[in-house]
Order: sequence, then C-alpha cells, then structure tokens
Amino acid sequence: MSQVIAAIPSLFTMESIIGLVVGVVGGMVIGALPGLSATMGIAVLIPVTYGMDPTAALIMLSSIYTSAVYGGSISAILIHTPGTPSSAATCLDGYPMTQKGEALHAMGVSTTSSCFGGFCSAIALLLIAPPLAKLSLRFSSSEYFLIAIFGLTLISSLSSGNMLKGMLGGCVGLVTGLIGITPDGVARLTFKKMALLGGIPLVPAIIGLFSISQVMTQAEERGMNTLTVKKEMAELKGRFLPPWKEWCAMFPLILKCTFVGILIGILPGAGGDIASWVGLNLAKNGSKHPELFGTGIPEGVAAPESANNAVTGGALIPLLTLGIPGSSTAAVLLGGLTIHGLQPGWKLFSEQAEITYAVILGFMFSNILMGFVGWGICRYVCQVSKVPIPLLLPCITVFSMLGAFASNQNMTNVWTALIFGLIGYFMRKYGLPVAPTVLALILGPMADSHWYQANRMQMGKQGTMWNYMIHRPISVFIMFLIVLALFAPVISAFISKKWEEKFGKVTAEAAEDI
Amino acid sequence: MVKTRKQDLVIGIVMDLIVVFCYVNTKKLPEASKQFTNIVLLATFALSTALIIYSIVKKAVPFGDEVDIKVFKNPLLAFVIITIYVLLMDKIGFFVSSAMFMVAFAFWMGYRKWVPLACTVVGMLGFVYVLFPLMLHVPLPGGLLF
Repeated sequence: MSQVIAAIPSLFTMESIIGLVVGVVGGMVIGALPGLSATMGIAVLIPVTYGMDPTAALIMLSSIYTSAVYGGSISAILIHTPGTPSSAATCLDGYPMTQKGEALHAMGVSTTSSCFGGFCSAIALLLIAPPLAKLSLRFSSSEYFLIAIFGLTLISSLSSGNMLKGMLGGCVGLVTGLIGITPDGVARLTFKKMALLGGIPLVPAIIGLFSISQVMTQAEERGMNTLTVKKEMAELKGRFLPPWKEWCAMFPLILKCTFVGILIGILPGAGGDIASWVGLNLAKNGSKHPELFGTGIPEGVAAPESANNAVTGGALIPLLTLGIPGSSTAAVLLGGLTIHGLQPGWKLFSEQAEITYAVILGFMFSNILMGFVGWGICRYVCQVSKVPIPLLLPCITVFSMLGAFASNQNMTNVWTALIFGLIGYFMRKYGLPVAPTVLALILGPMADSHWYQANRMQMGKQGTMWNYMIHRPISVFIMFLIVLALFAPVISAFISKKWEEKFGKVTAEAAEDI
Repeated sequence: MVKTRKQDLVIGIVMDLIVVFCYVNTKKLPEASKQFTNIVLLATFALSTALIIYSIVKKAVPFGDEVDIKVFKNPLLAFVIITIYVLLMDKIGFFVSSAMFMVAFAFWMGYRKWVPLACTVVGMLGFVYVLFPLMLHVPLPGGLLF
C-alpha cells in the first residue's frame, strides 16, 4: 500500500497527465478507425515514447490499449463497422439500437460497461500482480521454461481458426526466434551477418507483421468502391447515460462478463475478440429472452463491451509478473517496457515499484477518463472512420517505418519491418495467424535460455532433466496446466456442443450477418 | 484460383523446407545449443508434415478460404513501392522520400484530390519533424537533400 501511495506523485506530473490524455484520445481514434487495431496503434506509436519519461510513456501506451478497445465500439454502434476485432460482437445489438433511434443510449451503455470492465481489470491488476510477481521469486529456470511452453501451448490452441495452423503460426515465431546468439554464446542461423547476431529485433518485426502487412492487405482494394464509400452516421439525440434502473438490472451481467474478461485476459493468447463473444454468449444464455438478442437490446452491448475491456488489465497481469503477454497487444507493450529498460518480474514491483504502480494507477484513471472523453467526443471520433483509405495507408506506412528506424536508429530495423510485412501478409492470406508468431517470438528465446539454464542446474544432480522437473512441485503444477491447455480445444468443443444443444448457437459466425 | 487444400500443401512443404534448411545450418552447433534448436525444428517439421498429410487426405475438410492468386498483384505492387521508399530514405533522407512516397502511394491508390493530399503530407511530416528531431531529439535518416 505504501508503494502505491509513493507512486501517486509520479502519476500527477505534467508529462504523465499529457500521456494519459493523449493515450485516451489517441486510442479512441485508433480504435474507431476500421483496419487499425490497438496492437497496430501501439506498435506504430512506441517510437513517440522514446524520448519520454518511462512512467508517462507506459501510461500513454496502456491508455491507448484500453481506449482503442472501447473506440472500436463507437464505429461498431454508429456506422455498423467494428473498429477493432473485439467490437464485432457489439455490432449485433449496437447497430440495431442505432437503427431504432437509440444511438446515444447504445453509446452510453457501451461507455459505462467498457469503463466498468476496464476499471475492474485495473483493480485486479493492482491486487493480483504483486503477489504473483512475489511468487515468481520461487520460480527457477525449469519453471520459467515450462511457463513459456504453457504460453506457447495456449496461444496455439486458442488462436482463431484451426489449431494446426495456429500452432504452425507459433512455429514461425519459434524458428525466427532461433536466429542470433545461443545462451552459451554461439552464433545460430546468423549466416555470418553481424546484424543478425542480436537476433530478430522485436519492435520492427511486430511493426512489419501487424502494420505493413495490413497496408498490403488494404492495397488489395485498390480501385474498388469500398475505398470511397461513405457511411452515413445516425443522429445522436437523447440521453447518454443509461437509466439507473436499467443499469442496476444489467449490473450482475456486466460483473459476470468483467470477471470472465479478466480471466480470458490472463490466459496467454486469448484477447478481447474471444472475450466479447464469450460475454455475448453468457448474456444470451442467462437471459429470459434470448430471442431478443440481435434486435437491439442494451444487454447485447453491455456484455461484450465489459468483457473486452476487462481483458486489458487481465492481459497485463502475466505480462508484468512473468513476462508472458496475455494478448498480442500486450506483446507489443512488452516491447515498450523493454525499450524503457524495464524487465517484467519481481523487480518491477520492488526496485521499480514507483514506475510500475504509477502506470497501474494511470491505467485505472485512463478507464475513468475514457468515459468522460467518450461522452464528449464519441460523435466526432466516429467521423475519423470516414478518412479515405488512400490517405490513411501512406501515413501508416511512414509512421511504421519511422517506428522501426527509431527503435534502434538503424536502417536494418527498417528492412526487418519490411521483410516481416511481406511474411505477415502471406501468413494472413494463407490462414496462418500472426498473433501466435509474435508471442512465440517473445516466448521462444525465453524458453531457450531457461531450458539451457535448467540443464546446467540439473547437471550437478543425478538423473535427467525430466527427473529434475518432476521433483519440483511448481514445475509439476505447470506441467499439469500444459496438459490441460493441450486438451483445451477438445474440452472447449465439447462444452460448446452441449451449450448449443441446450441454448442454441451464438458464436463468431454470427458476425457474418454484420 | 488456388484450392484451399493445395495452399495448405504449399505451406506444409515450404515450412518443411525451411526446417531442413535450418537443420543443416545448425548441425555443427555444440550439443547444449542444439537441444532446444532441435526440439523447435522437430515440432515444426511434425506440424507442417501433419498439414501436408491433412491436405492430401481427400476426406479432410479444407482449412480456411480459397485464395485467388490475382489478389496478390496490388499488395505486391504496394510492397515494391514501399521498398523503393526505403531505398530512397537511405539515399535522399527521411522527409523528402516520405513526401514523395505519400504522394505516389495515394496517387497509385486512385486518390486525386490534391489539396487534402498536400495538407496531409505537410501536416504529417510537420508533426514528425516537431516531435522527433525537435522535441524528442531522435535523429531521422538524413540524405543528400534534407
């Protein structure tokens, strides 16, 4: 508690406040722009933080994260175009509400639910992260190795599409992560190139995989009418905040979805898109009138919005404590952390506690500020989705190249971003998800170095590496989690089948109706 | 038109070839470094081989949508334009090359409104100039012109 209080002055510096406001407004604009996700926004804006104080920089980046997730719902509700993948579920009831003349009401429900979900996840982060980071002190290399494997198993099994291609997407990241110096100091797959000795630089690779590949994907629409189609925005009239009675009636659902969102956020690889569909499922299955979903009811907006914003704080828990990103956006944030000289783990909550707690408090405030800013500017933010794509794409490219260059101030990084852009584009086209690649690019080298260290540690003892691991209770527990994660798709399919038999189908496939 | 099964087969074969290439180039590594490398390569080989088998088995349901090769034309042209931009960045500097790139790319995409385009280029590069070299003291690639 004393550390939290000690961090308050760092939060109220001019630089931190500017970072907070810029992050909230910028995130909202990025989120509202279809084709720009929170991940891409943070990847492109990391260079803006290079010269900033670490506290202000990380407050800005975490604010962009939560605000972009909310921003996606603005265009989903008002113009029927999800700004981010996590707001696709919101379209199903949000836009019908707009069509019924309840656009401002839908925005109010979305804003309050998002703020509540995000704020609760920030509290969860504040309460869960420090003890978990302390627990990590008991972890030796074998546990860290197994944690990395657990993360890799989950990202593959929870990736969108099918498991095999998800795992192959992860393998692309793992193989790429092999490039560089091995833990015992030998050059591996560097082909005598000095630039490859340090391994593949993370930030340029992420910029390439997310931003450049997206520019290439959007270029497919060159010459088509979709680039110039202007969607009409509904008139925003009436009351913004939902009536107290309605809010109280929805509160148990919002609370349930928030809890689920936090849990999904903690799981590596599962992001806001999964959480919002699970939230919508929960709402429909728990409702007395499931047939009304899709016709424009506030519950259909509140459930996905509280769940997807709750993911943000949840995803930061394994990131700050164990260095395992809970989502692809958190993976990009890890790049931001390392650039500012911060290493995840107990050190963040002891030696660097002032920065860490200030960032967590800033994240909490950003969720509140998001509500006020959203209230004030949602109708204007929506206008940005009308920016012509041919003007937007060169701006994204220039910023991406700038980000890649500024991360280490050399042209090798720019070429890295370009090559990964091409790889990312073909991966997308051939159905290999890029999110597992990024996470594997982070977790692979982590697993490699801890595997090496664990091997060294057990060398003095009798038996094999396996023997060494099964005599450590925490290792055995993580192994159990790995087995569970491997069977997760089978368990999940079984549960889905049972739910569908009982309640009918509400899944991402419903997005096809959008 | 590339059939989905055929594209899965291509992915599997390409991945297997990459694994073989990496294996050959890591054969001489010391034993301690080779262990993890081999685990990763073996896992990748097993999964990509599984994809090949899956794509050959006729009864298997294809993964994902079919990809029309024609759609690659514009993205690859975009990639070429970006590559030229990066090459120019190193030679004539960030600001001049970026201005040229933004105009060329927007024009190539079919945008013909010159006033908004000029405003975007000036606004964007002005913002970058104020933020990076002036405020954050981050040097950007210089060149012959600026």
